[in-house]
Amino acid sequence: MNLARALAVAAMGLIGLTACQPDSPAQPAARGDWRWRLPPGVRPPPVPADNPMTQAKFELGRRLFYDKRLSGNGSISCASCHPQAKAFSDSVPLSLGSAGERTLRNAQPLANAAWHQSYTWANNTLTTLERQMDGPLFRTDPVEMGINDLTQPKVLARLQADPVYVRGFAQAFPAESGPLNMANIVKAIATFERGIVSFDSRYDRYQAGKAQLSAAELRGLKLFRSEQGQCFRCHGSANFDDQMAGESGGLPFHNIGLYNLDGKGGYPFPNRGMLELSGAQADMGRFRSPSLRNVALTGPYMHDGSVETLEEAIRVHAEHGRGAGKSNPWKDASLDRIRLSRQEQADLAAFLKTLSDDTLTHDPALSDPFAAKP
Amino acid sequence: MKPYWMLAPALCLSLAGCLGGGVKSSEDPTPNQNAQTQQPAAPSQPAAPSQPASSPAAQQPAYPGGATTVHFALKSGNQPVACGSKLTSIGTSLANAQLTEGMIYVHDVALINDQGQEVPLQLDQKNQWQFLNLALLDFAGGSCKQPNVDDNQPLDGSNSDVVGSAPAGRYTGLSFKVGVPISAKNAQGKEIGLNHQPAHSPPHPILGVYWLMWEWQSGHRFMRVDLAPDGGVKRQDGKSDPKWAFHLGSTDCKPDRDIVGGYRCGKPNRFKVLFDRFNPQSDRVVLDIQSLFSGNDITRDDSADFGCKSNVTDAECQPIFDRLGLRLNESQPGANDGGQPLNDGRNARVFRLEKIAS
Repeated sequence: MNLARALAVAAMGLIGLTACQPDSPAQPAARGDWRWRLPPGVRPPPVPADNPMTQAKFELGRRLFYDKRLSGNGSISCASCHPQAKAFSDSVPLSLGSAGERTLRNAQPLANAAWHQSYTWANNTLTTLERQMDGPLFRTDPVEMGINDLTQPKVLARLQADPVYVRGFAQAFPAESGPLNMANIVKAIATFERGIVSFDSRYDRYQAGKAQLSAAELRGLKLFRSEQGQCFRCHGSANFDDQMAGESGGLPFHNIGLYNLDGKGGYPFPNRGMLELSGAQADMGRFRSPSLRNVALTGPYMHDGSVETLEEAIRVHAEHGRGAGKSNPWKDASLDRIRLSRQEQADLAAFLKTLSDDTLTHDPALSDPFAAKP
Repeated sequence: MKPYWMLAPALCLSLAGCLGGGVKSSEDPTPNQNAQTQQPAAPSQPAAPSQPASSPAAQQPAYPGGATTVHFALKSGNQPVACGSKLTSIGTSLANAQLTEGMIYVHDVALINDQGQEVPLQLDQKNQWQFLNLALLDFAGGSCKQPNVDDNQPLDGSNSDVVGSAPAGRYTGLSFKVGVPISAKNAQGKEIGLNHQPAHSPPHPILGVYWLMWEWQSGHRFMRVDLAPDGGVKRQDGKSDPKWAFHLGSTDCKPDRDIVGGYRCGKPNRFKVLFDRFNPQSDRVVLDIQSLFSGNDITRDDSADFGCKSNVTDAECQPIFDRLGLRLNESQPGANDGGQPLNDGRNARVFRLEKIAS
């Protein structure tokens, strides 16, 4: 942003603010200062009208994301289960909540989450990051962040006692008189999460003509896009999923034949996919296809973390499911069309590893502000 | 507290924003009430007078109007219960159990006049347990939590009253609905989203009570009655759980940006309760735990989901939904009648009236 425009925006903000709240100290209104850095062809993600992107909110959200004081007992932060080095995913099958309980499902990577049309593994009611956050913040069974009626005032008091937050909330929400509240905590964290953008992998650079891929990687890319591989069916968007805003329609969920407990397609409770929400048998085992960006960093895989390696995850697909799950009656038909030899599976793995984004995992703007400076 | 709320109706006359306003039809998504929603158009549907005109009902003395309280109580059979109460003869195994949770949302509380019309109680908006046409009843109260287990407490105190005002009239009956509406009108006539508003920014504190948040369904638990049976709840795998929990709420919900409240649910799981004979000055409404659980064995649970969480695939939900007069699942695929009331609310089995003195 050029300086003249920045000053103009700030001045407009001041005028508006002065008119509304003559008694409060003037804060530069942080708005219109966010810039998406996206490759050609990728449009900015949808952003809720009541939570526009600003640099001040992004910075505040980053601090909150890494702050253990946000959990009820002060033991974990969002980043505990979404570390940057793992492309903001966890490296264990199920994550550890603040009360020592394991989550029900595998923590998903957050890169490009702004473009997701639904959140978590299988929940069509969660269509914004703000909404999704109710789960980890307040969930009871099992507890994740452990904010409840007793701890919420404590969490807010902890943050209120920190001048960095008092300043940060005032700057991020300049029009509000008491901006340090749960609603704005959620808005700020969602803003930070929307800023976790990954389009600078070796694959992206290859697409831009700035990097080479090896012969094996190129063979894998070709297989990825082929009828033989079928991968593009559920991972075909620019975000390598099929729920990317601006590219995909509807909210597809898929059963890939991981389980078949009862011969009728049963998945183990309470991880039965969209059926948990809808109650419809046809939704048994149907989960959201995760983005494959940074997939080499985001293991273990599947909704329950039951697949340890990328190679094994590819094999499960290539073998049309896993164990009894291969005959799951609700399995997505495209699974059975996959034809990949062992060598082709290896080539595919080689390609998928080009989706790792070192810029994302090392970006200081996304890093832990509490970490000791080197 | 009491002198305070008795002043409220007078206050509200001067403060236009105080009252909930003409509350109506908050069950169904508005304004796009289409064929998909099969909720009976309850508030406008007159309840047929239960007595002929010459009966004593016609001589019902005129009610002067003004401050009106509808009292509720949670009981187990005839035993009044509070947090931690030892209950007996619960369910098919006649179990002994301890009450660990007893909360319920009610809305659209109305007095029925001798013309069979439902006249909404205008809820006192200064009462901390009420918002628009919605009230939270917490029979177990703040002391009922298990601090060591749950590290939690809800709003202070308990509440078993719905407090409001009614115009003068000849009233013979009472109706109310269980659940949180998708939306309701405020005093300015603006539709305000209720059930599906985010837990991190509830429209009112009674919709931000941690124990009633149902974040995975993007809504609220309408009714929560948790029991801890002596000896625990035995599971098929030989383990045991401490509680048999009943959680009622809307399921099969989908976002709908075109309606206020933002969601439309395949199984709303709200229902009406109607009593033809009710006197607010001498009667109260009892929710009977023995009746609620009478078709279930709370000492065991053979399904994956312990207790009943309104899950249509959970066989243990069927008896308890039968008791409530709710259809658990669709009568046939595509019927779209799951989560709908099975009757007009007159034959409530788990709710009954009793004299306040009793």
